[in-house]
Amino acid sequence: MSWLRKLAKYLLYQKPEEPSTTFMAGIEDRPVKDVRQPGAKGAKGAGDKSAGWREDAPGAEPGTREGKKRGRTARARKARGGKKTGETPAPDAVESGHPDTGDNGSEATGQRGMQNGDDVAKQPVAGGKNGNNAAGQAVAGEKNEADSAVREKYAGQVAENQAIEEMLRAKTKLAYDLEENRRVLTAIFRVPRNKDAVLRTLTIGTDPPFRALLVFIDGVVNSQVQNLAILQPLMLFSDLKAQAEKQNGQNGSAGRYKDFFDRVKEALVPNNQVAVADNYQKVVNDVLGGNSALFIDGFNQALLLETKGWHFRSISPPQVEAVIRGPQEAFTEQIRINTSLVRKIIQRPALVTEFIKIGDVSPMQCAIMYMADLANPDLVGEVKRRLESVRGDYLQETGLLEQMIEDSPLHLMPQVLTTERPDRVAAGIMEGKVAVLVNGNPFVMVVPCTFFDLMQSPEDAYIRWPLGTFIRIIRYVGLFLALLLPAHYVAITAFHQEFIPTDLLLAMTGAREKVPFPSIVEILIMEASFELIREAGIRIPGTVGTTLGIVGALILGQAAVAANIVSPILIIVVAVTAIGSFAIPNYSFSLSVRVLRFVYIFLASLSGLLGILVGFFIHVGFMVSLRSFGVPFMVPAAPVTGTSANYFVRGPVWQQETRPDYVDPLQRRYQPEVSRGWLRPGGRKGVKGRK
Amino acid sequence: MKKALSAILLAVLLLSPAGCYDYSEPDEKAWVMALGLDKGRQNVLTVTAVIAVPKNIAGGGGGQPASGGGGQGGFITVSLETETLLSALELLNAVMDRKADLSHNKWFVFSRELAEEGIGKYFAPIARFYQFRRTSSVIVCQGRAEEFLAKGQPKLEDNVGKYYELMHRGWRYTEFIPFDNFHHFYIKSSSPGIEPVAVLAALERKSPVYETDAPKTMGRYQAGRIPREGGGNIEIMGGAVFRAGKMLGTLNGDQVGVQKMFNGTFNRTIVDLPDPEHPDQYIILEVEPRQAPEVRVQISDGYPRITASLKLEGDIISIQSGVNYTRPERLPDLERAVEEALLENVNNTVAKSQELGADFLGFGLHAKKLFRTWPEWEAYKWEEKYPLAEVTVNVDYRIRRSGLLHEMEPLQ
Repeated sequence: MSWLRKLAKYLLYQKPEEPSTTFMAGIEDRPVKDVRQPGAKGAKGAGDKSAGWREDAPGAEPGTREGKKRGRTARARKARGGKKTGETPAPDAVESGHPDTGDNGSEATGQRGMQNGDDVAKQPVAGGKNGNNAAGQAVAGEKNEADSAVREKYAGQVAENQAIEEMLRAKTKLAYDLEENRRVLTAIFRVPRNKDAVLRTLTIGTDPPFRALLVFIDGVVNSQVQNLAILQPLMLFSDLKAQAEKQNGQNGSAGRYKDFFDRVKEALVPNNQVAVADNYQKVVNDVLGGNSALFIDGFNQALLLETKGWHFRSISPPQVEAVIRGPQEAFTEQIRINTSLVRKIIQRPALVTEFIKIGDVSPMQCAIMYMADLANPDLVGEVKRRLESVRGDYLQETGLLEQMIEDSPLHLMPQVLTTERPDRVAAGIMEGKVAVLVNGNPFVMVVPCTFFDLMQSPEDAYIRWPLGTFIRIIRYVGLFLALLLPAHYVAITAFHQEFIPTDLLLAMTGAREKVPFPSIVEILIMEASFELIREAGIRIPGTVGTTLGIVGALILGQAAVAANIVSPILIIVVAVTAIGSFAIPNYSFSLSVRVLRFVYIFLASLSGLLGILVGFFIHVGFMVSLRSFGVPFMVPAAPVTGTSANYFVRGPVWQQETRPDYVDPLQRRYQPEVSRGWLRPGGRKGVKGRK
Repeated sequence: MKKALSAILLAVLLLSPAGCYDYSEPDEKAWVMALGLDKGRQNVLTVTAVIAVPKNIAGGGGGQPASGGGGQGGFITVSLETETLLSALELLNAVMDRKADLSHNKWFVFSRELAEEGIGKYFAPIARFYQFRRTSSVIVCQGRAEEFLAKGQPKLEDNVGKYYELMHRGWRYTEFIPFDNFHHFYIKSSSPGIEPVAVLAALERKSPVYETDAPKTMGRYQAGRIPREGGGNIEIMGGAVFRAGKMLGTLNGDQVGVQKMFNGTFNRTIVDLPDPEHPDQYIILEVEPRQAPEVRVQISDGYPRITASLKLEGDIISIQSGVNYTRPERLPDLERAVEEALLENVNNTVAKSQELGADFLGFGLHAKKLFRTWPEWEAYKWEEKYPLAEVTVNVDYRIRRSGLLHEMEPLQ
């Protein structure tokens, strides 16, 4: 009976899970042997292992590795060495490192050279690289793949790609020589093939003239800014200024700048954001992000100039979360615009926007926003920890990232609040929550998220509180109907006919006389066709959209009744259910309700209301044990914590004096006890004696 | 995965032992709307079941709803000879294709003949069996229940269940129909100090019997004796007094009204009062309860002495003679007349209850508090002492509103 005890224990009490250890950044140093020991020991074993790995890490130098790993690429070792001894002159690193592929000019010869010369060393590079990228048991699979026919056939190309990758990761320094830099960048951007990357040579028109190189990606830069703020001043006006200074007798202008590079940066480029980079990785990332990189001959640094000219959708009304009263603007796909939309609402210096790079192959921009004087630093730390640990090739969407950082992936409930409304994000931030913005997606995550957040709409707050309360209750009714109405229909018609008023019962019975299916089959047919219509309605091309309406009305309408497939009352049940599910404001939550509805129908058909009750019990048990970034999902109802009267029904605005307790903000108070200053002091109960 | 698995396991384990496994569609059941019990012809009982025919009531599958056809086809009756009530249910399945279900039963009809023999023994299965609902009405019909149910066609409804329900619901707005449904009937039957009154019903008489045309109060009739033409086949009026599961006698409409006044289920009635100044003309008044009746019981010389006060109020509906009784100084005259008229009813009823030896007015509930323990109360044997009790009833009636006419002018 131990399983029974375990089961009961599981239901009644769930031990808070230990947070997993911080992500193993720099996993490339991890001995593959450790990884390959199959770790099907559960979370604890994994934790031990990672701890063990940490201790081992210092010793995991190339020399101590055994087997295959011993021969692991002098190349990689050197690159790592270069990284560690940060002072190594850049040209050295470049010479000893891989970008020699670029030297060979044509790619074909480069590949062949690689194949011929370095073949032995290459394979280990591949293995090592794969080990670096993937953690855990994925390594084994990847290693097998490394031997695939395609990889063998194009081993040269693979090696070249890995060499570039390795160089970027190692943060190889720039070269002094402009031609050398140009060669490397050509290799990195695959320039003869790739028509997007532009490497434009120019001459800075000073006396003496300097050769320079401007690198950018065509299409993502604003060419007007480039022309007016970079090329024109550098090529045409650069000497004018020096002459003017000379005429004014300011001979010391040369002394004011450290060198020519500094002079260009300080005096010659009228660009609003300028940064200096000294390695290829930073240059490449910035160039990919829409900036332009300026290389000057003789300097091992590059100027990164702000020339972003992405094309993006302009701010438009919310598509998903429409409100009647309230701001009518939504986030767009451009993260900078999104942060500005939030900042437009919260104009306080404590609002912090931190950028975090996530992902391996295409590092994306992800920002977290929070109030430095409100948000719980533990919460902020946890969000950052999770985001920084995420690795993957393609995580450009909020939905993908959400799945990487949520607490319990097996639950149907969404555990982050996704919204496209800046006002909602701002309200969350002002409560002490943290917003996660992802570039390229108009949806912003707000964490932590509770059940009650999912059932709220910003509209509740914007209309007067009795009305807000009313519409919120309506929404809960909608939730009940969407989740349980079909199940109740099945349970009552099949098991509890004494529930039904006699008149209705006889009407239902009479209407069912010619229906050949049992109620459960009937309702499954109707629910399935409704889901089909809803899914098709989203996927259908707009031009043929009206067809769906007609066809759908036939299925879910009088035709189905006339054909004696379903009974008429069922149409009402399905329709009310559908309307109820549309009243749920959160799309992911609505989806989970759609799925759970079928579970409840199944339970109801099994044993009526008892089944629904048992299912509900388990459902609530799951919800109560769920956590979102450490915050219980059902808070403040279970566990009960202090909060303003605003989680289930909507209280008056002037009574919402404290921030929610569950985020444990740095400041509890939201507004003073008397937030309506025009009330006579002492005119209200409890305010007496306050001056 | 472990969680999901344990959830599924839990659901299966919890549901499978507790599951009912009686999934059944409503169109697989025969819905019994009323059960009638008669003395059997060739067995102990004749049980009559009224089974609704849904397709004629609802109009099956988009067809025309039944136009009624004079109520024909809304139900069928099946009469079976059996030993007990529930064995009839088993037999019923032999003659009906659908499984008989009693959970929507509205009426239990006992024939008067059976009721006078005693029907207490049939209550046990009704109170115990899960399909019966205690909100069903207990009806005693004159004649055979079999015939009563078969001929009791609804005139306004298609649904015979609704017809039965609404027939008894008249207790809410007339004084002539007793309130006691099965639950109250059963509780009252099994507790000393009060006796139940079942609804008295009958089929209409073949030809109305008219007596003299002398004025008679409407409440003096009872089911089966209402002089009328037309209307439904069934009449419900008056009550059947029971004690220990045995019917003792009948009450007419007025007596049922008094019983309801003392039981607190009286809602309103209309009194036709002969005008004190013009005896051939009537004043029509509405009577409603004002307060719960005050009942005091004393026990002297071993016998109870009961003093009761009925507190009523009401409005003037009509004054045929046009005499202006609505003047403040005249109102007491009217009130006194009403009190006298009601008091006569009350005294009749009390006399009837003492004569039958059944305290259906519930005085015993007030006497109960004079005894410290239940055994003392039971040992007192109220039902034996009550017929010899001295009962004094006082009626207190107030007129609240004089109607829409304030100053009345006689018709010129």
